[in-house]
Amino acid sequence: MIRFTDFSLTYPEAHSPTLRDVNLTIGQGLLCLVTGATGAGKTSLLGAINGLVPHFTGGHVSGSVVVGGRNTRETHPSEMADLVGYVGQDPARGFVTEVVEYELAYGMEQAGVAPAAMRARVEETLDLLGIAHLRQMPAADLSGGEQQRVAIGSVLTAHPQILVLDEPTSALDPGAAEEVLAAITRLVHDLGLTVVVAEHRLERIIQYADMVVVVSGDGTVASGEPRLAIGESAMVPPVVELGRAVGWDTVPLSVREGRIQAAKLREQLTEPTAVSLVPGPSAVTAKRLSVTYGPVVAVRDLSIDLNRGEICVVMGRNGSGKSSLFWALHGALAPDRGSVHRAGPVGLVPQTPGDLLFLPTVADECGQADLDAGLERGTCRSILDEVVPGIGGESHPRDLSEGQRLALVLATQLVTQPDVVLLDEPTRGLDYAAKRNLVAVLKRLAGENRAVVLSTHDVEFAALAADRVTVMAEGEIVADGPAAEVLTATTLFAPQVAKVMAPLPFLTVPQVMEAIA
Amino acid sequence: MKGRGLVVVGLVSVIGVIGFLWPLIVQADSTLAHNEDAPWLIAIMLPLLLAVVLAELSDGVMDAKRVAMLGVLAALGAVLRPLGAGTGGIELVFLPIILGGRAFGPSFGFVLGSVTLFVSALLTAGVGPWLPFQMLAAAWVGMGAGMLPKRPTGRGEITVLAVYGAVSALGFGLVMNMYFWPFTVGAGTDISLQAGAAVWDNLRRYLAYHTATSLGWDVGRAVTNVVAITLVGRGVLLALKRTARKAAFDSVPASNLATSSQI
Amino acid sequence: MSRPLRRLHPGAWWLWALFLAAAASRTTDLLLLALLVAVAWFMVIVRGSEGSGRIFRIYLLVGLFVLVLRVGFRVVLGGGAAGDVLFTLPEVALPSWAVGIRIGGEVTVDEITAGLADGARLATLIICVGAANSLADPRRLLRSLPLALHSVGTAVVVAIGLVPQLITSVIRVRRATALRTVKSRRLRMRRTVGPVVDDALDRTLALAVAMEVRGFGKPLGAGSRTVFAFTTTGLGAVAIGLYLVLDGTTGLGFALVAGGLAATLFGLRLAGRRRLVTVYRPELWRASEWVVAAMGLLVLVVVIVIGRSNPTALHPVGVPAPPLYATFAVLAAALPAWLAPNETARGLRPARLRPS
Repeated sequence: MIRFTDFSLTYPEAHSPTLRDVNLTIGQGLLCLVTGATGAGKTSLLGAINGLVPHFTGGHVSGSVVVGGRNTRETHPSEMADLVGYVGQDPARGFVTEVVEYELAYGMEQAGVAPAAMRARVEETLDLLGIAHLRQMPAADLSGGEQQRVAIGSVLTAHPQILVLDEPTSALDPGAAEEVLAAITRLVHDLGLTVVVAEHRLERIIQYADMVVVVSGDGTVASGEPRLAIGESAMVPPVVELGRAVGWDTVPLSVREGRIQAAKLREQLTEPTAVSLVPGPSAVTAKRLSVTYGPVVAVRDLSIDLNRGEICVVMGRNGSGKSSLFWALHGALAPDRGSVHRAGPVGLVPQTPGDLLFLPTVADECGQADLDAGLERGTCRSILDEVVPGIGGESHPRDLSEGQRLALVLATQLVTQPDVVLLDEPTRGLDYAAKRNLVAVLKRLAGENRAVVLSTHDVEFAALAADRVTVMAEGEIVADGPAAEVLTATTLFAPQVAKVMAPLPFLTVPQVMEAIA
Repeated sequence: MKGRGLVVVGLVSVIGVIGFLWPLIVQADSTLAHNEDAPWLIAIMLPLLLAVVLAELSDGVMDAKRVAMLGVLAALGAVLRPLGAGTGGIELVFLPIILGGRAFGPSFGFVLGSVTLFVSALLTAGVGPWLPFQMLAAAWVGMGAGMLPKRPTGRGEITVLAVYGAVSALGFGLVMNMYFWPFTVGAGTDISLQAGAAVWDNLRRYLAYHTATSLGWDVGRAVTNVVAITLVGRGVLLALKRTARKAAFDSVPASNLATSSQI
Repeated sequence: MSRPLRRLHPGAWWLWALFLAAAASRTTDLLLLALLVAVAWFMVIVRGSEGSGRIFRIYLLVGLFVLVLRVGFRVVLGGGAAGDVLFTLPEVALPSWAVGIRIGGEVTVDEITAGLADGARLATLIICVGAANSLADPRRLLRSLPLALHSVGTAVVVAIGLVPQLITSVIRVRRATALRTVKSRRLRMRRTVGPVVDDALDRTLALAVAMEVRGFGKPLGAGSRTVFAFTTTGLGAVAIGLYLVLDGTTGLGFALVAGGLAATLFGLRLAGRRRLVTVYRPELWRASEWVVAAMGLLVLVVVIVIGRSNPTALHPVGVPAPPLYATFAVLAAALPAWLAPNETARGLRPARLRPS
């Protein structure tokens, strides 16, 4: 169905090829997972399937990509629409029309399908993806998971045989991610589509994959059956890590497989000693805080104490009020009721860190941060190098990866030596390595007697980083306590290791390995 | 600008010029000497003709990237329009038009000017018989920005653009006011149009009218353009050029950075 | 929310309103003009959508402004017509090159009524166009565009959809500026403009990808030379014809203009044929649309007929006395309020800053 033959890609003015000598065959009806470090070239590989590379992005290519009998070098991406459906990374930005129903029909309009046939296909697509109740709504007002499904629907109406998705679940909360994954697997199993998905959060999806393609940093590509393809790679979900570390024969890919294999281990181990939280001095306190946007109540009568030396992870559905809470704690957003008492300066890294960056190079941004804080030149740069080393000073901030941009903004906030560091959804777009790095950074910040608070959907990250976990829903706190307690209390927020080792409250692989030893 | 595009733009511009300058040309015995009908006639025809020209410039010529860029820049212009203080807030609208025309060429600039005025009129209740003329005048501004000499870069480029911003603001005002002249004043005043009078005579009256009404605003508009271009022009142009490079807007892949998946 | 039974084609509203506007331009009877405004206002209230009222109010204000402006100009710069003097303004001396222009002087009743008449006519015209804009959803109108304008139409649709998102983006970026104090005043503007523009341009690429992968912008077939030929000859004919009309040779001039228009429109049609794009829920033009347009046309026809047979009836001196038939015709133009299908379109509003 999809065949890459000696395919190489070099972008203009790039130092080295992004993809090198790729030989890959993806058969019909398979769910193929493409993974690799951020920036390795996953998006480029996906783009090559429907001709975006090189027709849209430019670049020099050699070799060939033949998809469904069509050579992508000779076919314009717009002419591939009936064969390949492509959904990019941020589907909300790709909506042309305003209403869901018209968005679904857009592809068919461009293909010149007759109006009657269009109506029928829109109906069937709405049902297939479970979005029929959203048909009249403006696409911009939907939740992340709904938007993703609408975007998938909009390419599906052209009846393509191949579906290409670039990180469909990375920005979604666990519930929404499950819905999107269910839709994808239904498409593979019920419709027989060939689906190629790029992801770096593999926990949920790897068990469904028929084949895995790993793109490495030097541009080469390894593919095969999932367990073989991930080989010794470090970019694996915790359940695989656990299997490797404990030394099971068949490395488990899903929680179910892990539980079966861990049966004996569970009998052998005893409960780990519960680490109780010793709260340090309070760094910021909110009393009966309420934040409203017109008629919408975002934060409802909330009181919380955030302490120095502690990493607190705030979790909750999209719309539960986490962002509003952070802005109110910082002080940039004035609460409607209640008060916030801060012991010292507060730094906040917002959901879209790029909002703070407005200068043309990284060096300029660092310099400006130093200037505005009244510190000597180089302070911000050295902080940045501690967080993420190796960012070129002449790079444009918009060209950096998500993790690098996050690091840059974090550095500008750390320049003011804040007592409290707030990070709003920092884990979006980060791969496993970047997340581990971030955990180390956060632990160091907490070690410097600061209060570190972050919000995330990524339970694995929370398991690694958190001392304390707070769960919010509808603007109120519904759970607040030590990480081990809160994360094992429900299945929705339980990390893979916890689910495998339940009822023993282990959160991470190192914890399990410690208990074995 | 491609030859064909030049021809049709030229023709519609001639029609537009006639449409603007008819007060000076019209003869007393023409049936259109009666003030109200001429602008009506042209106002109905001009949108159709403008549509034809826009179709010629865009259909089959503009790909998805250019159309998307057109939409985004027009949206930026539409957001900026209500921020202007007077005369329908035209001041800041020119910013994306001039910068977009500079970055993407005269053909793009022409279409951008029309589309920006159209969208901003829709959203700020500025649709009226004057709209086709505003669209044409703004299209000229965009086209002119694309025709400026390519060589100056950096500070020189910004200076050239700022000067152009001032000149185009004054020109736009002069030209649009010619259109509004019969509308606002009508016949029977000392500064009204008199059909059949000598061209110089009418021109003198027009200048008096212009000075009395819109010159002050035009100067304000020119100043706003200069200030805005000087402050943010550099950054916006760089961003536009970066985007053009990222997505291979030119058929030959140009220099500098690749997409973010590189890093 | 369930959809209404059927919505009127936006073009029908435009035709209705433009006919009313054309009728308004042919009379200076204040009562008749006021009646036209009332009918337009009534229609917007009854048949408009959520945001219509707000938009229409702006047009009402613009119309009022123009009226005041006209009268003001007459008063200040009037050439001293005959009639009873109401009051006298002090005269202002002007430099010699402004000969023949006199500021101030006597102000007569006739001047003021003439100014009112002129201004009211223009104001009504503007208000009628405003009614069209308020009643017809531009997005729906854009979907009925000729195919040759598909690219430009898409850009307009994209722009309209983006404006609320850009506003949200500006609000978000402004909120983020509180996180970084920047001392230099010169950079303050860049702090907001930079991220908003960068955000918008990132959207451009994402949007372009989404459009292209769904088939936008397929390479077109042959035939552009023919289209070009028709377009250029048509435009040329119109240009020459227009000049001739203004110059006094009306017969040939009008013929050339009409012929040229036909040629360009034919070229437009030809260009549209090269592109195979269909419309999802095409706006239908049925009996209701004909009726609505006809009601508007009726007003124009009646006014033209009265104007031919009895010109002074439409341009009364002194007390306004609208001709009977004209009044009936204008009142009949309000019938679409009951005859047209029900409209419940959604207005434009920016996406809320979602709490999260």
